[in-house]
Amino acid sequence: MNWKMVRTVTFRTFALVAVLCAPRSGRAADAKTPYPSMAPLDEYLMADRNAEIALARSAAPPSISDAATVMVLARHGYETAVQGKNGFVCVVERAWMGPFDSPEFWNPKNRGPLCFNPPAARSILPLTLKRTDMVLAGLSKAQIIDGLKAFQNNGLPPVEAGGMSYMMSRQGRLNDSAGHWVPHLMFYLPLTDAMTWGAGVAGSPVLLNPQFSGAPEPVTEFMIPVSQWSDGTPAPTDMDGH
Amino acid sequence: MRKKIGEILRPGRFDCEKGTNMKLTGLMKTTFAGVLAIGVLSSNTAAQDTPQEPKKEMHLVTASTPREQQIELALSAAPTEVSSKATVYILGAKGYEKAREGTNGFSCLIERSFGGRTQNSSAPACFDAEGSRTLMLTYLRREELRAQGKSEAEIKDDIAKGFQDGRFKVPGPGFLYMMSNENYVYDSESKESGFVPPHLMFYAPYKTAKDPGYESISPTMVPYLTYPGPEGLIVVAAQKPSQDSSSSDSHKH
Repeated sequence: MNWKMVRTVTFRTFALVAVLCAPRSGRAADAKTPYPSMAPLDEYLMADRNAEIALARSAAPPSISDAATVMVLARHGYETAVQGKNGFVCVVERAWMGPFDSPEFWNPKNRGPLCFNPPAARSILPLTLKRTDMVLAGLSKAQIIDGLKAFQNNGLPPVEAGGMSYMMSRQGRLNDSAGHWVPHLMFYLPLTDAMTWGAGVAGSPVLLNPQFSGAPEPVTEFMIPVSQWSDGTPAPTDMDGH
Repeated sequence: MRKKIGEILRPGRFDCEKGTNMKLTGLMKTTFAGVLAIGVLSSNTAAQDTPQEPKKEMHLVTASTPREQQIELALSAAPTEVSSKATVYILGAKGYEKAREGTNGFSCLIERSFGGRTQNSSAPACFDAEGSRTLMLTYLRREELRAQGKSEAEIKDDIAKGFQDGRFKVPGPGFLYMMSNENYVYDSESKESGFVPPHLMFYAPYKTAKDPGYESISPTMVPYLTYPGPEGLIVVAAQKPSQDSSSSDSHKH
């Protein structure tokens, strides 16, 4: 990778983060949004269990994900499909793990593979499981937010130093605009002002994920793009074509 | 004695644990050659696999390095948005001295390491507020003791005791920037010092190598753990937008 390529990836990254962050304008309530409410549950589920396992594993290099626990989405929440032995947990997140005001919150096509390392599996994965449980229980967004706030005060472990996750799948689909986006790592901090870290500013390799950020989860999530997909192939230099 | 993969990225420590996985040294070279293609490590292997940038000369930073030069170099560790508001420490006759007070909680300085009495590295680092309150204090202490003439073994012992007696605390979640192009560190395998690429280091006290997964990492992947124990860190190579004004490309020594 030369520096021109690095710059290209980075600037495309910023542009796409802007895309990811853009939906914070209350448009979820807009009747024109293509995903105004939850679709039939079957549209979120993957009929082929093995395909979901493979997709979840694609988030991290095989040397990590092959030995990971894999959870798949079932009708009442995530369930363990494969018991791993290295402490990592790989899942495919659905659109409802995005910001609550995202117009794609109910997009049934989105698939976000990621593998949590052991500290993140202990302190961040519970948020995925909790949100999903409440979604599948049929709760409203307001009820889910209230449930997450209650979870913070009763049951949610504190963010653990060293917690991180891999999102390096080229088979993922994060939203309609970004597609699989760029391969990246994610690191977690207790809720903080991301600008203090220079996230997203010129010259910074650190980007802010709009997920969580106090709305309502008390977690700040930083993303660091990497140059290769989990299968070892180079990441694209031009993200326009996804 | 073999050094860990992370040691090439972590100046400030010359003493290291023995019995390190031997495959990691090679992985280190492959990682930076393959992922970043800017490896400028001094080993022959890395040199053969890596497109070469023009060789540059490094002058190790010492207490006699001019103040403004030290400040400029320290600030090159982080994006300008961060470093411009950071507290800055420079090396003086008694160790680190505060050159200016910042406003954003970050602290920037130039880390050093020694082999015996010989300095073999200097690399700029900017700690976030969490690291400034915790991990960075060990760096200040190291230079304080060096200025007093203590040996590296004595310094290592003092730091270890400091974590036991509460003088030092392990950091919570957070990270430090080492985004300078002037990361000049020592590789104990080749027994040479060289430049390493920009990177970030996330605090990971008492985590193990299994936490970032590097024990089974692919040859071109980061991250990995270095210095398991109270000062454990997860190292992540970072892609640096090169037009940032914090770049030290033009830094003159």
